[in-house]
Amino acid sequence: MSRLVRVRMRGLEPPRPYGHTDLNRARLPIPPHPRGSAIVPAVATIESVSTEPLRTLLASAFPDATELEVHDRTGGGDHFQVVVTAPSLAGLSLVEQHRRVYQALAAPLADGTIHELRIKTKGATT
Amino acid sequence: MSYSEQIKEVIDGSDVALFMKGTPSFVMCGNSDRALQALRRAGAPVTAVDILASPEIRQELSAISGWPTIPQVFVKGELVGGADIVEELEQSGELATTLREKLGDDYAERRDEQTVAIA
Repeated sequence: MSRLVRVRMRGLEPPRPYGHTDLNRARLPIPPHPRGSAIVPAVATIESVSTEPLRTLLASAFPDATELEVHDRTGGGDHFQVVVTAPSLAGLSLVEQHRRVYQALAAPLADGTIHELRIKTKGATT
Repeated sequence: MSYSEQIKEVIDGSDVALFMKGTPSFVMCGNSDRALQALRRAGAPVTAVDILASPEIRQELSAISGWPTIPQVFVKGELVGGADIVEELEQSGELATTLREKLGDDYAERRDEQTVAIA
């Protein structure tokens, strides 16, 4: 009984959304895509692959950050939005604040990992 | 005149200098457009330079300003920032304040948009 539970209801006979063709997708030995909650963490993992290295760089440049966000705007791993709030930025002009972020991310900017970068900085949480 | 000298001339000689991808009538990049639109909303007299005319313009410009990305906006020779900063300052009203301080209260009446070619 317990073995039966592990087999998905549709098994290897998914519906045929493309009709019956020579290379019949319904017969390809690919199990149906897991539905539901399993998809969400999979997508989140892909985003974190591109954002995590940048987050690490920013975290070491702004150890006092109270807010540190890196968002992959397009999902393509090269258009990023970063948000940094840190007391160490207080009193600096926006130009100087953004310069600190550029300096922290100099390597990925130089090697082309970052194609586009949007920056939002704050000196302190308001 | 070298690229670097021409760039410095535009930065120092313009009320508001915008180094962008494309021209105001044919913008080639979304971020350049964001900066241009923010400047227009503030009524700034923009002098635009198309950095795509030659790759050296961009290199020389970033060497002068120490700013790695395009667009770059200067008011009376001073770097104000890129698209994010200009947009933020426009929304908070600080951009208009800075323009009034540096260009005089009547700056918006002189609003004329021009494009300067660097070659």
